[in-house]
Amino acid sequence: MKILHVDDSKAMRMIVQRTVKMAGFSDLTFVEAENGRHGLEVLEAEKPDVILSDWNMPEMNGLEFLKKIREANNPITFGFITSESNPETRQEALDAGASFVITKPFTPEAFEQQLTPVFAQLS
Amino acid sequence: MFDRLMVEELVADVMSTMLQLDLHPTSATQQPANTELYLAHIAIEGHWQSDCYVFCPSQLAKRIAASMFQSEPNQLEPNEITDAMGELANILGGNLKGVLPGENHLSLPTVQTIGSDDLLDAKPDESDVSFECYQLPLTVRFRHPVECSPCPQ
Repeated sequence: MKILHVDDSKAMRMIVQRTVKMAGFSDLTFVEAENGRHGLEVLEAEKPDVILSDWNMPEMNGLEFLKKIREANNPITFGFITSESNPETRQEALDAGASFVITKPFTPEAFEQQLTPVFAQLS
Repeated sequence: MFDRLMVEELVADVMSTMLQLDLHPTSATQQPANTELYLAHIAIEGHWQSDCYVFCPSQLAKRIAASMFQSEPNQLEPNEITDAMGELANILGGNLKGVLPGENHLSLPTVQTIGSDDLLDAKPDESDVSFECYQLPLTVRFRHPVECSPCPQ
């Protein structure tokens, strides 16, 4: 299973990937991008199975990134990992085509809860 | 809308949940004299406007970054410390924004280093919430949210 992880913070990319492994998902390959624009390039090159994306990024934010993906009719499973914690933002994410939103600070259990059904469906 | 207890709980939650760092609220607000500080800032904009600052001595910023990168403090590059402090401000700002009604968004975080002697006191519309971590002070300063009038289109 290949995951494209998009976040402008290298520190947060490390924390997320570490936490995903702590959640029990060990057999994963991560590819990374620093913002939505870079994410589109990596998506094309790497053909991941799932995208995990931050919301607030320079050049192209996570919402714009998701909308570009859906405009291209790509149904790839997309989840946000974001500090944007209010209900309106969550609904905006879901309306745009995200499957889930995990808010920071997060726990391994939050990833386990959201990713278990995703990976089961993709298997 | 933001109060000390909420900020204390939020910061403690972030630090313990994500970084496994133990910190304690303290009434002492002074940063050590003649010390380099890392100062991170993020703005909340939209229907409500506010600012959130996080600052601490470089020594503690390195510890925070080391925890994020699972590295040793003395092995970090300056941009990694900046990254870590910016992300800390991002998480705190995002959670503070979450309690505000209406449509609001976060700026991108900015991080700078300043001398502690150049740090200004909190303004009347700002509050400091201070903590101790590794016997070093970490302060979260927030500007009390202001409802914009008129709201930006």
